Amino acid sequence: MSLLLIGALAFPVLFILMLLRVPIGLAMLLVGGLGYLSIRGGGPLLAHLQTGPFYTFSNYSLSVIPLFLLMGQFATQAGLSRALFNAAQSWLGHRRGGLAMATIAGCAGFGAICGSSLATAASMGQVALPEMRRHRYAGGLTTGVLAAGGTLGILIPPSIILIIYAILTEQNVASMFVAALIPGLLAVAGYIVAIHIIVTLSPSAGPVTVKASRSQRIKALYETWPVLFIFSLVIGGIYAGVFTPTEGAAVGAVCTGLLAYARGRLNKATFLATIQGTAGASGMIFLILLGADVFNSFLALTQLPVAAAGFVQAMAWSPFVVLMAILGLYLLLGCMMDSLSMILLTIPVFFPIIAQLDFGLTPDETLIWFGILALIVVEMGLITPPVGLNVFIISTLAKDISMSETFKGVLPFLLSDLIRVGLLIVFPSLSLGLLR
Amino acid sequence: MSLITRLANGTAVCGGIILILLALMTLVSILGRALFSMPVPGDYELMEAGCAIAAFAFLPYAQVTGHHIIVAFFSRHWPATVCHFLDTVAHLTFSFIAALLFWRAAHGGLNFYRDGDTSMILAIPVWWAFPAIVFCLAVLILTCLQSAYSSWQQLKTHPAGSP
Repeated sequence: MSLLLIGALAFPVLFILMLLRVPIGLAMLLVGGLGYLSIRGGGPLLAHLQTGPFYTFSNYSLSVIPLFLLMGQFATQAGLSRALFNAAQSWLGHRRGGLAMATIAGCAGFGAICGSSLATAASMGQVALPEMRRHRYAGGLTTGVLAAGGTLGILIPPSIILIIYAILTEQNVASMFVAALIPGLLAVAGYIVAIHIIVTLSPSAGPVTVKASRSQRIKALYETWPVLFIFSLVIGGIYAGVFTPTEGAAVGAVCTGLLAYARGRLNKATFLATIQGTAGASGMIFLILLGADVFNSFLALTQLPVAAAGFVQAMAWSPFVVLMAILGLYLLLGCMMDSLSMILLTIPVFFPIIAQLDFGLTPDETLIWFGILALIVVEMGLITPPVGLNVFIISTLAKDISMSETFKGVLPFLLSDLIRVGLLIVFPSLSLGLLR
Repeated sequence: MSLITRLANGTAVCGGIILILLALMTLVSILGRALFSMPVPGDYELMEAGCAIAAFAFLPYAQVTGHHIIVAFFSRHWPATVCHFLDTVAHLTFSFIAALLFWRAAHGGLNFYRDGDTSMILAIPVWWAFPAIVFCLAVLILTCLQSAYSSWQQLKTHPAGSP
């Protein structure tokens, strides 16, 4: 059997295993291991497994992941989501649909100190959900806005997925973060416009609340200073080159931890919850990283990625057609898979293809720009039916609102996502402008 | 809570504490570097080895708490018996893989011990990380077997096959 055929067969086998409820990371490990075995034999595989997992886990660039997760967990315990929501509510709450807009603004703020979508959705959900229910917001709008707002956790730097993408494509993490900044703000604007349109069409969906006084607003805004401080310190420090991303994440984790302690939120139970939240999410990510490492070592042996790039080049398709095809595939896969596995599985194959497409940008710019586009599209998978992880998280918090109602509520935000992707494709400088 | 679950919990807490200590060490190192141009010696290699141990320590916890992501898209409407059966097989497969990793990591650690490999700056023997890693992988085997057993129990108690 030719190497290319083995490589091409690995993907359907992998999907069948996933379909049969094998955890994604384990399935990659299994298929990658068997593929490696079939090409190189048992000896090299066993030798690789002696130290391979250790070297993968002790990669300095990956240490940033558990540290950013720890930072997000501490931020949750510190009650920062409450402060953010209160501030946004005092400025926006008196408008029609204002609480939903405040939720989006709060999610964006929380996303600035948290690199994970699920943590953002869960953390803001606990605060914003009771408020919106109390003011009789429509069910679908309430849960839809939270599920969509959660994706801001990963669009707005820091972002775990962007870190992984940067490692896979040998890009600078700081540049990736900067390139995500304006698209992240565009997402906030787009979601707020979507809410405005929803409540204009059906005014009862988002009733107005009492207008806060000027002094209340200033006070509420002041309460959010730790978020601004930590975000500037961590992201600013990384971008200015004062410290590495891993060091930045460590600084952020210590700051949010101290903040939680200073606010009297840390006791034995919350400390344990912080560690357990970090452990669960990190363990899940590292199993996927382990599986992807073995799978991608195998894939490199088959030379499939190089052959695929050569094929695409030989076909001389328009770069935009190729880009659309890849993004379309991500949308489709996103309905079934989680975003991290998608990036880890597909980027090794797409990386050589994308790198040689000519969009009138430098190769590095093309890779950064594509990374941002891919990030937005894979994150849409978190809120698309039938399997949207964010929607599940919010549903466990809001038991009285049905899942189908939530998926309907999410639609306007998905539409806003698609429009934003279109804008970024037509105007790459929206994401690359700050880097030039 | 079963003994194995408590073991996985304890391992995760140890990993979390290592992670917090590493974060504090990094902060001290950055401050030392900025104020006295004196970082903590070997801070990067401490971070690498410590993080590797923490990551291995988190694997069993993610298994007992069901954090590992599965694609539930197709099996949503399958009978519960089928799902429990598939889960049993998946957990058993994971036990096997965990045992393989355990065996190979033990060898890897012994090799580092025999060759006397040390880290670049602090000259810490590389094998020092391995007893902890091998222990975590042993806990992982136990947690996977426990999950397989509990899926098998569910399979036996739900013979009707309604989802």
